[in-house]
Amino acid sequence: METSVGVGLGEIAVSQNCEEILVAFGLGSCVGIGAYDPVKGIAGLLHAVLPEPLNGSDLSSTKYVGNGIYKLFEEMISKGAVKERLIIRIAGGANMLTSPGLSKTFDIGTRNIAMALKVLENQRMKIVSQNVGGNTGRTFRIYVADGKMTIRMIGEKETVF
Amino acid sequence: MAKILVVDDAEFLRVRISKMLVGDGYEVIEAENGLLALNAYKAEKPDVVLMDITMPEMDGLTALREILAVDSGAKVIMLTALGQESVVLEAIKSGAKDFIVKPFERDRVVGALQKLIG
Repeated sequence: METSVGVGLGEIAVSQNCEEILVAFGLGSCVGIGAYDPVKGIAGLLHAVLPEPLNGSDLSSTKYVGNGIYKLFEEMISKGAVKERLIIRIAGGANMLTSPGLSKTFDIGTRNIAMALKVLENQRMKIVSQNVGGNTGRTFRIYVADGKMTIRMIGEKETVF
Repeated sequence: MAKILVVDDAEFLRVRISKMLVGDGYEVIEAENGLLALNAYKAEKPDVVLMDITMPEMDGLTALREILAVDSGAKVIMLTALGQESVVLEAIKSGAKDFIVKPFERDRVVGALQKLIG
């Protein structure tokens, strides 16, 4: 029987349990980074909130995209995943503020996506697919049994991406 | 000295991988498609097969299954391009031991071989 494992703001979950589904609910401006090693059957999901720390504070927190990605890979590798085998998909990074004059200033979503792309490129990791941007939240799921990753936008059906 | 069967329809890739592996002390046999790979496997009994996916005559996934039908203990590593994830997942389910995404680096190839051969 499948069990959903919620991955909250700033959290990472890594699993080899075929009955688990890792879920980041309601990704607004947050970005979800999903990774899967199909040989070892290890799935990982990061729910990052902000692109980078402000004022040098809280540097080790996984709520920041860069540090979160490093920690996600570190944890997956510690369980036996091989970094070069990871199938990576990203989702989220919506612009949730739609007021004129504010939306660009505080466009955390776009900045989160940009940071994720930059960090992954620096890590020489290729993104297989992405479902990002727009103005609507998403729920991101990873099925540990087979590495399938899905998105469900509000009011729409769950779709594989 | 471990024997590696390199299977890819692109000659330049076979040559590149062969040079890399011979330089590291491996014995290398080449095949340009899955059907020739199957025949080579039966004749040469390599320690590991590096198998491309998209090839004429017989593709890599089919060849993997045929080789495993001959030898259930065969060690096959798939060579894949980005975008072939669904085939890779199918190959892993069918019994491939690992996969390497092109363009690959020497350390990744050698590391994968060492894990299987020891």
